[in-house]
Amino acid sequence: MTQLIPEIEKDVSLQKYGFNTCPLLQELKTELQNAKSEVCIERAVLMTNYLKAHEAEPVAMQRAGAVRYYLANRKAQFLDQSRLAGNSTSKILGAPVYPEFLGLSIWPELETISTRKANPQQLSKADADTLNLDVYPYWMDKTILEQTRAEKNPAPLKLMEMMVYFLNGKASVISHTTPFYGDVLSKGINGIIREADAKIAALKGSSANDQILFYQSMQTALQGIIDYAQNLAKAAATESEKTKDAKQKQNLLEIQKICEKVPANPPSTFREAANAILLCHIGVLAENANMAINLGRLDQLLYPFFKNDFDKGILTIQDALEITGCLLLKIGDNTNLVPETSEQLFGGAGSVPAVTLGGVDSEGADAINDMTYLLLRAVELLEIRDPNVNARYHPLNGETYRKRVSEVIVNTKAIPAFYNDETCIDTLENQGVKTEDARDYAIIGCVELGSAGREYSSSSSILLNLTAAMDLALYNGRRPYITGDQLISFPSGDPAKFQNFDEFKDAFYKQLQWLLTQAVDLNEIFGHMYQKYLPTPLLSGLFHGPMEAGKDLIFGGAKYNSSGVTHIGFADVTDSLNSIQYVLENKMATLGEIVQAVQNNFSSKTEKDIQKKLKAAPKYGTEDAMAVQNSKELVQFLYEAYQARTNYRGGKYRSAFWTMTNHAGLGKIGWALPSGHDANTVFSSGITPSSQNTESLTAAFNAVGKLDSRHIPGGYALNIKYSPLTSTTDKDKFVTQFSNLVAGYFMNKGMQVQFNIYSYDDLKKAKKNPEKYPNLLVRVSGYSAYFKDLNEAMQDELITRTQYDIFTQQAVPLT
Amino acid sequence: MAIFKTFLQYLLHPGKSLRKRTLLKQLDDCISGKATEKILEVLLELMSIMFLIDKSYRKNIIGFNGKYRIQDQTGAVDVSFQFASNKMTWQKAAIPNPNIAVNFKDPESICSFLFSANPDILNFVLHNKVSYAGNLNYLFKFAFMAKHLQLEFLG
Repeated sequence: MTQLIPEIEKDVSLQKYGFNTCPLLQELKTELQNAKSEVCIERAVLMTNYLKAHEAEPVAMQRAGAVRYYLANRKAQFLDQSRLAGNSTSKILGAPVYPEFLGLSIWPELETISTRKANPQQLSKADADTLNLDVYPYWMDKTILEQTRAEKNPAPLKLMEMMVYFLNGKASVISHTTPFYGDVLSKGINGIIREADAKIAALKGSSANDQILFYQSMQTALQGIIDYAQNLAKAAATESEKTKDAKQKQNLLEIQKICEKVPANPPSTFREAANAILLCHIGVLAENANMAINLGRLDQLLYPFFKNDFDKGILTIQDALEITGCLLLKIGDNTNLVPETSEQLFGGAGSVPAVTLGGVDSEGADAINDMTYLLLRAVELLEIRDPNVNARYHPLNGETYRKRVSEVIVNTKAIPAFYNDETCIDTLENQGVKTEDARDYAIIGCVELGSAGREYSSSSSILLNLTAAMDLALYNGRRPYITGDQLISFPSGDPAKFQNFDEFKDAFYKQLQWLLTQAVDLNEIFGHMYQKYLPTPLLSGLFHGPMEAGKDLIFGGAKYNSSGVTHIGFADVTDSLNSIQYVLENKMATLGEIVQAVQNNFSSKTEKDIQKKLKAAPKYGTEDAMAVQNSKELVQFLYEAYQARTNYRGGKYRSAFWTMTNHAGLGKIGWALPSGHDANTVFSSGITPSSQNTESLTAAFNAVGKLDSRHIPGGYALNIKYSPLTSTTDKDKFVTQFSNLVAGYFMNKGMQVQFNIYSYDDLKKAKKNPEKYPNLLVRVSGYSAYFKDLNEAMQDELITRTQYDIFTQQAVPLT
Repeated sequence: MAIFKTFLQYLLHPGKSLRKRTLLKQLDDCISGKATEKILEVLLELMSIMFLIDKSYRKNIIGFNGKYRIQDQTGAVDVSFQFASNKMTWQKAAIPNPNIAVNFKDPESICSFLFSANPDILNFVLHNKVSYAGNLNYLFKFAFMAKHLQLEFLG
């Protein structure tokens, strides 16, 4: 471990520092949490205006030019007294419009979005008119989805648009990656632009016009970030003259100097480095939709600047904490713009920018440093939804760190999530990532793994509903409760005529293979359309690989490439297989009887009896051999099926299990399952065993740990709920027990775990009286959300998640 | 000049105002569940009048070209309409090469989609109340124009 400074060494929890010593953080936090989310049309208007006037340019330059034009012409403003300059939108909490993706989907809601029931977004009449009359008409035939439909009209698109089989992320976004800000911190954006100059010079006279164009587009887009910073510097100067608040005047004068220098040039101080990272993050959002654009390992990026300033005596811990808090708050200043129904499926999400702490460094040494603890304190104080904070843990990090992370989770009741370094690094190495790069992984969005700044992961390429494949097997290629007798896939046989469980299992896996093939095929088509219309020159300039390769990220310029596929209903489908096998092998019912009972949603007495038998089967989440076998088989099947496919950038597909709130939304519109699952009830989250199925916490941990993480290279979300502390609980014992349970789970090869520390009653009360719990923070299945923002299905799912007593490690009965 | 022309059209067609009131009543009836199969015809008639008499509303179709076909699975509704030359025309028959063809489950679904609190097509897809072929953005635009009339006249 890097030697901590004495004060942090003495108290890693930094309890001496709080809102009393950093009142600015409390003020900024309150402002952000009280702010109503507002639609921000600034980017959409400026980008559209530019593109209208530059339609003849090559796409790479057109895109780069539009990004620069937006950054250079957006209003440079100071919406609060933060010590860092720059905002991702023109609002305190803004939802930017990305018309090239799904920005037009709120068109019908323009006049009602401010008052809609699910997560309203404020939109003025003037801005609505601008979108309706000036912006949206230009994009009607130019969104990525409609261009794909018009040019390719791929058959799987129809299936995707039914929403209940799979969703292709590329209809709305790629993003989902971690840029590399190390170069900005060491040489500034000017340094990167000069490198591109040298590349262009070396190519002069060659026929590599595409490469030259790529480097030029990268330079143009990156220059936009400098333009924005310079405008902020000028605005700070102007504002400093106007303000009568001496403290803010001083703050603005400092901001002026900072923005004149960074990120064009390398930062020298901690505050400059933090602001440089923020401005680059804002730049990336100018080009790429605000979904899971991650900050990477902030403690590693910022530590050298902290240490240097601290040693020089120009930075105090309090100062560093305040600036760190300002950075986290700024990162969380934006949210997603989605139509109301998307709130049913993805409700309550912010923009899920992930921050990663702890773990080991590229050499395999303990990477915990002062900044790790400063960031943990800031997270503990702020308790905000975004950024999505993740703590890596390696045995070398030691117990003090593990306990501190546990303590922060206990205090915030939800954040951060815990990751097992040994398992995650091994999993990435197995994907061909070099050891030193695998060790430098950072979390993407919800829970996905990627070597920071080296891996263009597109980790949310596909969300596949596993229960749809189960339905297709049950109903011979059909889904009668949705589309009647229409053949959706292919006839895999009438289950009533199957002789045994293996025949059914074979049909299920064939249907699953068919379904995932449709989804992957469509992703490939989308990928090629992105190559044609949506290159990413700015992001490419902030990444390992494109500069050397002379290729945009979208063409495979990154050092590593992959595409992620996550799955909904893992536990429900595994349990369905368990139940069918159990009932058939024990001759308790025929497959025909099971299918009929499921199709009728267990409505008759006989069918309810069958449901009881199905429910009596061993469940995923126990250590029963059959349940373990079925879960492992499903994981392995998916792994092999995806690894067999190479994406349009030359990378492999990676399977994953995180579900955001899709498991609740799809469950609510889904049908009964052979597990005994009733129709129209939520599915299980992530890789978590079904709620109320697993009495023993140890068994649940072991069941997940037994899944080979190498077969889940996209990452997974295991959701565990603990009873909260009571007035008689010894908090230190609670935290120690918490920490030890995580260590035990990780020793058994668990990859990730995230927590909610609430009782059933706590969440029931929050559902009943949302106004009393406006900022109650929960972990969904990947990201964090405010409970009040979630749809009812998701709230119910959180309420009914098995609650374990941390000391007895037994489930608390749900009453 | 444009204002004068609009005003003149209004004066020359005093029946339009009365017709508008009648259509609004019919639209309200359709939304309330009466004669829902007439919903599109009533809506398109009303739109035609509004494009003529309301300059602000007319801006929605200035320079806009688009062809639509909307049907329902019961066969009660089959209407096509076209925006071209800053005008809208419609017919009770198919139209070649529409930008978007939408097939709702029944007339009630059309009503519900166009005049729900939030006319969100995804919700209808999720609940299997609609299928479509073509560019969804055209439907989004039409839904906005319909919703606007509802908000303006029916609250």
